Amino acid sequence: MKIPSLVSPRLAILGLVAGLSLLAGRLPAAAAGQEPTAIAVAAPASATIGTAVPVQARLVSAAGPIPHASVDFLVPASFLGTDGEMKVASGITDAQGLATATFEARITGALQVKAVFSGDNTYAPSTATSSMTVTGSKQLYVPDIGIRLRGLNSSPIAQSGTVSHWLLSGWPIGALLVLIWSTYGAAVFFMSRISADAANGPEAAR
Amino acid sequence: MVAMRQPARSTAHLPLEVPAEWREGLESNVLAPLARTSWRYFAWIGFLAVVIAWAVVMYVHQLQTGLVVTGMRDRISWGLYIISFVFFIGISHAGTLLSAILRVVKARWQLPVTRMAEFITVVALMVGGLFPLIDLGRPDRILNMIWYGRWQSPLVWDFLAITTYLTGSAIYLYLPLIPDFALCRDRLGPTAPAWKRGFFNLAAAGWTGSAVQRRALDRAMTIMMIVIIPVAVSVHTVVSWIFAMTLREPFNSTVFGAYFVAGAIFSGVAAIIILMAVLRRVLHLEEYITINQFKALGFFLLAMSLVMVYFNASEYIVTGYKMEAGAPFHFHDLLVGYLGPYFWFYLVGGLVVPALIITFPRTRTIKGIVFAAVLVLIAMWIERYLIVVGGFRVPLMPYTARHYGPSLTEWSMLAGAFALFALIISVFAKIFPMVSVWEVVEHRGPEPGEEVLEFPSFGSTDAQAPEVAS
Repeated sequence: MKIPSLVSPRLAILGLVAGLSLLAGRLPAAAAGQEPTAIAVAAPASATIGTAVPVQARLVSAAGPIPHASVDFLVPASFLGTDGEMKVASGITDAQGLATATFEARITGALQVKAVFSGDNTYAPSTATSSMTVTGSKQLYVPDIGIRLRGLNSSPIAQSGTVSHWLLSGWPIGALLVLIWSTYGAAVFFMSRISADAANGPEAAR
Repeated sequence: MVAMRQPARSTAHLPLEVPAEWREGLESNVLAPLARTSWRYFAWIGFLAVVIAWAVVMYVHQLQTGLVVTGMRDRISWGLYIISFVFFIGISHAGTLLSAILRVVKARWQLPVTRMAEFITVVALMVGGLFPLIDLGRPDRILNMIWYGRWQSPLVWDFLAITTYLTGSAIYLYLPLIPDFALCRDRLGPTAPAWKRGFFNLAAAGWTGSAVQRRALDRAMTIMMIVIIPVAVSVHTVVSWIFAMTLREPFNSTVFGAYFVAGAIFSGVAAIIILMAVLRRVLHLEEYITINQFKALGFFLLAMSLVMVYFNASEYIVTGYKMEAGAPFHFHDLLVGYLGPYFWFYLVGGLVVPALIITFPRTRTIKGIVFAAVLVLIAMWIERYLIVVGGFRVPLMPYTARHYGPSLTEWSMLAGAFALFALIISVFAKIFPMVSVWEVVEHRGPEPGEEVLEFPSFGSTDAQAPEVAS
């Protein structure tokens, strides 16, 4: 998958914007003794769900690229009704201030990839986002196994709602249960012969 | 022996080959507890009722407050309830299975104890089946299993397997009871209270012992004794799949099904031995349940302890050789860590010591075998603790492993379960003959003191006088 390089002309402009912003003082306020920083992030415009997505961030200060800094990549996530951001990858900047990493796209739709430099004793924190679209309909959580049993691990998977629906969808297991319970029924049938004989025989039950 | 009034009765339900005096004694002894109840019995029932009532109070408290009153939390979300569930389902296993296998091969020595074994199965299933409901926190949600069930869920498999096994075991328990209910109807009916008379009449199903009835009973029992064997084996396999279907060390094991079945038979045989000793003493059945039954079941226990050693070796050597992620933590936990004392007690106290007790003739007495069985039962409860808690302690992410300690609520529930188990057995012992009289009479050997197979004595004397009481 191709991503725009942060040393390409387009991202050179991004770097320039970051530098100008830095000079204009529009970056997050730096604590005393910290140098302000700017970060830019690049991600592919589109990706397919379940594939590895390469991302790149460039971290600079007024003095130039910042090497050996840790940059985290975050994407929006929801879990059990809570919305937030999930760290999906991280990288260390090289001599040009570039951090490269990959993550797996697991949610379809528009995705905001966020690069975060958390700052340290020398440099102030900074963040940047990039938009991308994830497409596809691959079911990520169903393992592809060799044995298929209707209703158990192959379609149609029963949906909630009615008793008959889920009972009938797994008919092989149901058939096994019917077989077992039928033998119980046979035993009960013979048991009933005892009462029948008592009712009909000369020594009827009292 | 208890003298009872002898109403006019039909003897058609019993064969006539055995001496009448011996048969008379057997019937009187077995039916005596059904006819007379002492104050000790009521005191015992009262004690059990108090324990159960306390458990109910604690359960109501849990319902009101939530599962936070237990020691279970997000990291260790299964605890004493699931441990006890597996334990009770385990001890239910051996009763019907053992009885069915021995009936299939027409063994005779076990006939005096088959009913006790079958009772254990039914009662343990009834009690064990309560624990998943207690563990749910919201028992009303059990209906979701029916309305929104999915075949993909091992919990649904478990639900179906246990209800199938319970039904089959109940039928299998009832069938050989029919002639004995007829005996109760004939011997106790006229003097029994009206409700008991009505119950015996109904339960006897009009049994007169005619050829047609005997043939029908024989066919029904043959069907059930054959079908119940695979059902019993599959049930505990399915119970193991609750664990084994997860990608979690150490549950993620292909041997878990067979391992659970072996463990269930092991603990089930121990439970039979203990119950046999208790009922033998309380119901004065020393003449019919002798050292022979204890030895035979003791040897079976010995064989199963070796099978358990094999399964443990197979499990730990394979996983220990590969040492996948999580295994080093689990091994450290078991061998020298937090669970170490329990693990070593399980291995030494539950597998080695009982085997030694049964191996040596000097300790192979009724008391010795019962002691070995008690050790096995305790160790097998601990083994389930090691499986459940040990499994959940393995961190799946980089966090510190959590401890689990059952709360007073959980211990109360466990005490209540044991009390309920004892209560149902105690009540059943007052309603049903605890020895299958007709089968003992029908298959009685040439000599009541007939010996079962003997174990090598390793040079020691094996002069064991028949014990009359333990």
